Amino acid sequence: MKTRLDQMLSGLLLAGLSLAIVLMLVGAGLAATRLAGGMEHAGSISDLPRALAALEPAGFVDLGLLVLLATPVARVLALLVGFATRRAWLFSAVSLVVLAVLALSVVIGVRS
Amino acid sequence: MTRCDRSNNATLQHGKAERDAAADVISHYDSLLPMAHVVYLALAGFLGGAFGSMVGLGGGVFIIPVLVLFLDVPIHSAVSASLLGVVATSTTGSITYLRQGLTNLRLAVTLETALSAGALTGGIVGAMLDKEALSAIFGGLMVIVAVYMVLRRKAAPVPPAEGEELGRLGAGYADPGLGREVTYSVRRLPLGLMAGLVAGNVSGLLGVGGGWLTVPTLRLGMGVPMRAAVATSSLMLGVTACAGALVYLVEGLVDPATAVPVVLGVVAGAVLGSRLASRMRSSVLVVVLAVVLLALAVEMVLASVGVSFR
Repeated sequence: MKTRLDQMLSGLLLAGLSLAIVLMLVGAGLAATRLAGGMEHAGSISDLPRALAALEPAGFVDLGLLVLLATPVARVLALLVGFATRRAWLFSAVSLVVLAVLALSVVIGVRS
Repeated sequence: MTRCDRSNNATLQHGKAERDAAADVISHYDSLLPMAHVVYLALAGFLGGAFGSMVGLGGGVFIIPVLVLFLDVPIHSAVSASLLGVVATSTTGSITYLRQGLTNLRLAVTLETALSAGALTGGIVGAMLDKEALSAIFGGLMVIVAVYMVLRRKAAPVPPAEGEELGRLGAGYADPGLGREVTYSVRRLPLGLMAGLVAGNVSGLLGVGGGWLTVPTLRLGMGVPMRAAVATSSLMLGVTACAGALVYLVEGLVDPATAVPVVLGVVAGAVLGSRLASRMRSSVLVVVLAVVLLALAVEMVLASVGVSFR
């Protein structure tokens, strides 16, 4: 049965996905009009603010991809909070374990 | 500095300038992909997203071979675009499934622990195992699962007995196809955790999503009805693919010119696929899943004899 948590998570996923699509479309639009640069990477994440300020397509595309990937992580975080507010401590703790393993796999993946 | 040294320096500088110019040209042409190619990339994403969200898979099984074989996309770009596509399929499909109350959140997050732990250990186990043998084993397993699912497609999961507790993981949803509410309790959780661990592990080893194992396990092994199995698997896949895709993005191995059309196509396809799934009968969904599993099985068995699409 549909719960408020279902609706909240659906809204969160919709917001993340919509923002990611808008950013990618802006980047693709800028690349198509060739205002500045192509669709190559902006560089490291620390270069993103500069690329966005300079209206470089790569900045918008990279930020869009980052927002897309952050959306499932935000969903797990929202589940953690959602279960905690419902005093479902067991599932809140399980969500925390998922977040920890996710963080660990990214760290190990990048290092290797 | 001798005349020879000066000459060598000039040659080196000239060579570096030529290489930089060549890189600029490649980058320039990468950014100016012909429009038809962009449309084909988006179409591949659309079909992968539609089938993936319809049966609770990520769609990577379809996207990677199409990009590599038909669109000449380099394998790293294809895998990273596919991982991003799996995240997009999972997110888009889950928006619809959550609104319909089909997703079992407590079960999803419980199995995600095993999936993510499996994905984490996949790299370690991968160093010890022979990938060709694994491909053959899992390809054979998929054929058995697909045939078994088709044979049992009309067998409804055992409903909880009157007055039976649904337990911590049990749930229910309104089935528009049946015109009534369906409730179910979750059975054999250890089996689901084991399948999640294997699915996550294989996901890391072979670059395929885990839905091919989680959906049949939820449906056949744990007593979860097909619609809820598809919705719950769809939500779980996003987290597994997310870790891998983040690594690709941070390492600069994502080609935006490939990934963006694929992701946009996937989103459009997943919107259609998740809506179609809600209108289809569960037995039809099972047949669609079996066909996709058989295709994946063929791909894995071919990989075991050296014909690889990845």
